[in-house]
Amino acid sequence: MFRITTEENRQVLTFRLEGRLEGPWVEVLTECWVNALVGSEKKQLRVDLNGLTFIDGAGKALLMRMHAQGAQFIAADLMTKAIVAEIVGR
Amino acid sequence: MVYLPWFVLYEWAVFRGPQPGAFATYLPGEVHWPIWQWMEAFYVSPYLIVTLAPLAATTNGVLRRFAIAGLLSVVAGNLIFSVVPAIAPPRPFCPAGLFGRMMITSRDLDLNNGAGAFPSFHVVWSFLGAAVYARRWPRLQIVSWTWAALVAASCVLTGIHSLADVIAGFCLFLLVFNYQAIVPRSWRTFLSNEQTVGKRVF
Repeated sequence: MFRITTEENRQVLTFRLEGRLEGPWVEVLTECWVNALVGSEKKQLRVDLNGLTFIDGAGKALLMRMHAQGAQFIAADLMTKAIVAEIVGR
Repeated sequence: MVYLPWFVLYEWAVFRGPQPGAFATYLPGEVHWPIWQWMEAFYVSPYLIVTLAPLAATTNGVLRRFAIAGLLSVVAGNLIFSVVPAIAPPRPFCPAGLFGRMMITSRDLDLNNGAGAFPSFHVVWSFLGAAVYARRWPRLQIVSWTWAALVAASCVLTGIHSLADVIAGFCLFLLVFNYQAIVPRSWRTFLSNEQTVGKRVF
């Protein structure tokens, strides 16, 4: 199961991702992300990864593209931080 | 009398969550079907329209048929929930606007776990309600049935149910709505507390 929720204010659009980012759901997140890029040009885009339980290869590739396009990741626990480190290449 | 047992048993099925060995009922490719967030308007409409349906019943017979069919669907549907470990994990979508927020709330209330989906009670109740309204306003019965069909479509197009859930819900509706052809007369009498004296023809 996978879920995307959004929180928006004047400066920031935050995506909260929960569950398993894999398979067909990568496509859904891609669509969301593209829409956000087009519709929120001046906003800071944040992606909260704390609720994710699994990310497949395509999901990681998408997160890397999102990072390259300006997404800031929110990670609280060690595992999520490790994934973020892998994605941002630090 | 009808809605309360349904509510309690349905919430219990949702609270219990997916059973061990649960399988998703989506057809191959179904997860790619579109999600139309405005269909949430139809998805939530039964909460009001079906709740008011008993008030639109023109005769005791119509009300009795609605109540008995509803109770039978509660029994059969929850039996299926217990026996068939089928789930429909809600399909993710990109929430936008009021309907997006409503969809998120609906999913939160259903614990977002896909349990209690096969068969779809939205479909069962909508068609049972439509049958009452169709009897109340026969000239507008096409509106009632179309509304119920749109609710059934909304189950799939809001990503809450699979097509299999909807078909199973419709089959369950047909079964319980025609209970008179299936349930023995003695049971029907017991269920409906019918006054049969002087009516029976031996």
